[in-house]
Amino acid sequence: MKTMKEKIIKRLAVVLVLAAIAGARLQAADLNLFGTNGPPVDFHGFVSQGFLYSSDYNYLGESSKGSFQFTEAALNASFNPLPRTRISAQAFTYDVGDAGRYDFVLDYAQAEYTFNDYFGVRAGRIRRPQGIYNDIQDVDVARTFVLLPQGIYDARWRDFYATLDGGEFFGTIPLKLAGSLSYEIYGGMIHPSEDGGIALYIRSSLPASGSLDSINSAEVFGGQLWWNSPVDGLRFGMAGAFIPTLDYNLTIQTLGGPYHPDNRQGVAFEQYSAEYVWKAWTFQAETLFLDLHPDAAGMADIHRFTWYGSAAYRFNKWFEAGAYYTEYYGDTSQPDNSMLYQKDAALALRFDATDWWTFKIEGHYIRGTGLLQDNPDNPVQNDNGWWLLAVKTTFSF
Amino acid sequence: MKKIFLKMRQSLDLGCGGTSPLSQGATCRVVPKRGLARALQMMPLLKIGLVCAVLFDGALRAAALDGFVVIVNKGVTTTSISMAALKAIYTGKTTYWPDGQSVGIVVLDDQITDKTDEAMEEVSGMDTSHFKTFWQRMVFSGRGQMPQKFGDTASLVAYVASTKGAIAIVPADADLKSVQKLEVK
Repeated sequence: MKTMKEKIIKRLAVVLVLAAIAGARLQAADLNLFGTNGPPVDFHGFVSQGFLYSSDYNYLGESSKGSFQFTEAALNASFNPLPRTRISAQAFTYDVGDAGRYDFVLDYAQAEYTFNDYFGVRAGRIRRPQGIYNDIQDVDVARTFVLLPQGIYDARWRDFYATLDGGEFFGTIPLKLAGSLSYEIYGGMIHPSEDGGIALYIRSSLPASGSLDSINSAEVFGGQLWWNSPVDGLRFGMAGAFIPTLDYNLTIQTLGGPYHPDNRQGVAFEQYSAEYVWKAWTFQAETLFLDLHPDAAGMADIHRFTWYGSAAYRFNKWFEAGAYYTEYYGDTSQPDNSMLYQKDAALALRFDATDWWTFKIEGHYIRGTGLLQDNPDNPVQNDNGWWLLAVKTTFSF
Repeated sequence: MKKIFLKMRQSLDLGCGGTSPLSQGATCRVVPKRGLARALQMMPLLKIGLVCAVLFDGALRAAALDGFVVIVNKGVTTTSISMAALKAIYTGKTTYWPDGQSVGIVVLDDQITDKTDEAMEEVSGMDTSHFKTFWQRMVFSGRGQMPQKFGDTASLVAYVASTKGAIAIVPADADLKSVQKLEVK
């Protein structure tokens, strides 16, 4: 656990970056770090600060009191050192409630070689493609909403979902009048953080006498396929990922001494997506099937299911409004258990004050508490509806 | 809606449990083939998409870039380009010229004229806001390079003239001696 002092210092560092961007009104820069004859290096970055307030429960932080623990910042650089070759890297830090805690991480650091439009190779630490938003779920400016549907894109789980160390093949295959197919096939290792969302989730489900000692790195394999239809802006996608063994170490204190239960499980994701960008409208719909397969004898599989549908309308270059409805079921065998489902209707307004400054405000009406996770902070849960207000501002360049 | 999805989910399950995590039950392994089986069951969705594509066939015709031309740096060896290839560049699917040079998209500020916006919309299939958002997604996921933006045509043309692999769409009446025009077929 980080000390309060460490946390304050890290937050100050993020605020300083924010001030630098706001004050200097940085434009995206092409710097000739390798001399005038060398390839230019392209820099981009963003800093986001959010606020959450809920009528009941503490969700993604201490939201019932009003929480500013909702911060993200990133800085990236890329350049083309050789023909068909690109190197890029991004540093990232975030804090959402108790997850992230401003730890700076290497979000991606990759080299890619594109043989042609049909086939390329990318290796290093890469973003894991899954659905419309998985590889960009940190990027507030790339969407209408403050909070993406949390059953699919949980803001606390990005260390588990978003990146892997390994490689992928990618490309786009033209289909003439039928549009084109874009694909990404990847494999590698994920490294869940002990300050990340999955660690918090495990801790919150342990008895008082239990502790999480470590989470081991895990292999992941998967792919994403998009059919870009011949209709401009209309595409359909399917993605799958498989983690053969997710392994973490627990200690439970018992009268007979410490006990270390077996905690290995396979995880499988399947996601289906549709998106239509038509004039000023954007329509999106996705479903995610997530299956957990525990190795331990006597433990049954758990099947999770989420879907959402959304629509957004851009009025002009400053204003955009959007709405979505999403349902999450933490265990499909218990669809009526309000502690395992969460149904969320959201309405958002986005204001792009300048090219580099965005402001959003969003209201949610939620039924169920299936995604709260912070059970010690939410000792009493029922099936009454509750409200969540989310506000966020982002500076980017 | 929930019932429809849950029914679909049930029909796709292979009977690997689905009971409470607290109850007794046999463990099961993931069978990779299952994903494909599920995918095939989603084919109706793809068929609906194809029908939509046919219905909107009129949208497939490439419209002329009225009053605008496509320019590139003189080092680009290509002399003509199809509308489909141009669209592939502006939607990030083509990122290199045939000789291996990186494609650098350069755009005029969207405040200049509505016609500039229309020309961009024609080649990218997106309005200016969606175009910006799309490239932010590409950049921050490490999959692309942000288009450079200029407030006036002369500065943009000068940048294209001095930058390897650069491409832009500009008003046809601009001074274009320092760059190469691409014929759009």
